[in-house]
Amino acid sequence: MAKRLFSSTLSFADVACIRGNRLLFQNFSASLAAGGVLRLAGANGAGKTSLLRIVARALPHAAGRILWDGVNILENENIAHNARFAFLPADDRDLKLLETARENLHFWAVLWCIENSAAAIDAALAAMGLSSLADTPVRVFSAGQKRRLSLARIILKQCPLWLLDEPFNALDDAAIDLLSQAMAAHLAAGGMVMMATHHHPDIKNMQTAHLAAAQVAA
Amino acid sequence: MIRRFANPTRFLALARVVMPLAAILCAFGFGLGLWLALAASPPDYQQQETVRIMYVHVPAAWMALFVYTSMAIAAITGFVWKHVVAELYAKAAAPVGAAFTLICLVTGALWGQPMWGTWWAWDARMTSVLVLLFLYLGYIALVDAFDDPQRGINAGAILLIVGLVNIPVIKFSVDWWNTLHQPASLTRLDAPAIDSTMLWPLLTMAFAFKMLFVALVCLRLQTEIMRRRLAVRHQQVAGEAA
Amino acid sequence: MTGPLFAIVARDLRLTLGRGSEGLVTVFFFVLVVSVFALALGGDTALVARAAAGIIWTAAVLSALLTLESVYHRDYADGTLDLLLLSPLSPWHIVAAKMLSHWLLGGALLLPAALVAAPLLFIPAAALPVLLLSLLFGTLYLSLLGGLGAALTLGSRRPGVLLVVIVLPLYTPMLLLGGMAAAAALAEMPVRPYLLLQAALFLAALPLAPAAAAVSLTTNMRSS
Repeated sequence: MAKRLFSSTLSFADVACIRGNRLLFQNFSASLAAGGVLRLAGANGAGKTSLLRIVARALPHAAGRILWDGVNILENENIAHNARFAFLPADDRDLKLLETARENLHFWAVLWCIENSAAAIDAALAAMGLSSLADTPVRVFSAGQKRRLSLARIILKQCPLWLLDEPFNALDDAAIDLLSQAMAAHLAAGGMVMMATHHHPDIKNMQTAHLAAAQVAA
Repeated sequence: MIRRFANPTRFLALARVVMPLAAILCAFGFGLGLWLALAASPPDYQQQETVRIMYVHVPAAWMALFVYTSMAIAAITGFVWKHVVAELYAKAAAPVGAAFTLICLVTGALWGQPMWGTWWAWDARMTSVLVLLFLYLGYIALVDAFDDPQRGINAGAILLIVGLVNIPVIKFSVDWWNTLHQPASLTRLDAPAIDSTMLWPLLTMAFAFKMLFVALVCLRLQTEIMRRRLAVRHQQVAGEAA
Repeated sequence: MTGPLFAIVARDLRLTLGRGSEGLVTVFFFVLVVSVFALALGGDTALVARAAAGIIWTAAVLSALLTLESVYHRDYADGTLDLLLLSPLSPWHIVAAKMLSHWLLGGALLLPAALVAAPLLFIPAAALPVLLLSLLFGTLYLSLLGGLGAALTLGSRRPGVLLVVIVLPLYTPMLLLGGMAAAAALAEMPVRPYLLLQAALFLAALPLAPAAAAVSLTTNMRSS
């Protein structure tokens, strides 16, 4: 059994989000313990991505609190919060096509001050089945391979919370299995996952929150 | 939501009173000021009738700097306290301020031609005012360059604050550059104690300019707030239809 | 903090120089503008020599501004900037790293390019050290202001032109000081005060410009 690395909890109290002049959702409440998964469902434009970005503080919230181990993260501007989560954007445009898979990951390993980065990069690539492509330029990757590289980057960060926007996009069945295994290992270590997806991954104890315009969710 | 619109509503009520009042005072000020400046005041013993350009040139120059400073202060207010009207003020005032700056430059050229024999000289004051006009135009271009108006206002606010910090530096460098590089052939008009026969028309004109500014900015702010409400309304209609 | 900061710079350099000619285009553009000026002045030796300082400065400012878009806009368009801002590195450091990248890819290349251009403009060798030192401060300052301008114009409709329009007026003091330093050097007059003031402008902008740009980037991300 994997040893427990993380023990943090995350809870939402009456979070609301306004984009432009439109109220996307309000009174969103939920809570995640170590090892918890929250799946966000809802129509396009319901605010799934916005909620993930609010947790990452990449978007302002309109109301409510988000508590990390009981402390509201929306109140003070603490840059250390950024070390707690890994964010997967909905697309993989940011991967640098001129660089190899390993070089792409290496940049972020240095930026995030990952210890033992060479071993960590190998492990992350192996987890997403990219070991044989490690030294290939991303230019020649297929859409699914790019997605797997982005997911390897999430594993690389070794942080408690995964914020995943459409993680299953472009993945084939084999890759979905790899991701499920990686996610299971992360959860067994006490990590948490929040993901916006239309898929129904087979994960134990998964909560699902349906976001819909101006409606109470979860 | 309500808090966000409460402020503009109160402002609109205020503007409905202030705008006509400022417009009347402006018309009165220009009437009196122009009469004093063009007819009632004496010609200068050196410059003769051309001195009358001063009554437009100098108030325009005062307004040019005043408006930019006020925009920067409003930008700080809007940025720090999320004051909606303060945010919109800078955007509304910018073209008016730019127009004053342009008037200052054009009247300066008209004054320079008979006095110095040239429309333009890279003299310290004219150069500073020209750079100020560039600052205005840069701000206007930036604010209008985004599809989401709020992003333009945010970016513009930071530019204004940076510009405000830079104005003294620009002024100092231009003055210094000018003393080193300009031949002293342009006899500068040192302003000795200005005679009251000239001071009163000048102050009246300055007052009229300020009232013109207040009236125009009120009008532009009203328009901007209405435009925003209309955008919100359109979104609501689209939302209900969907 | 230095590890991550230099990782950003190193990656910018690698990616830009990896694209082959991109770094050289800046230098080429600079020499080209200088030549066009000299040709437009009719190649008149005395006239070109008198205008030399102004030509060098104009060409340097334009070439450095051209480089800005590639340093900032590419990372903005592909979402890298967003991810950088979500890293534990402070926005100030991220912007400072970007400004350093821009200087290394723009300003730093222009210093040797100015040496190449000097004979085309009949600049005497004795004036070169002063000119280079003056350009050093000038290009560093431009990278600071330019980074701020780039941060402000990200996501706008025409970032390239807009950038030039908002940065150049703010750049006036440095331009005047640079021109004065060059003129003084050519006339064999004391240049110390100009260079010191140029250094002072650079040092004043060193903490402030990244701070303003950081605020702009964060606001920009939160409203996009």
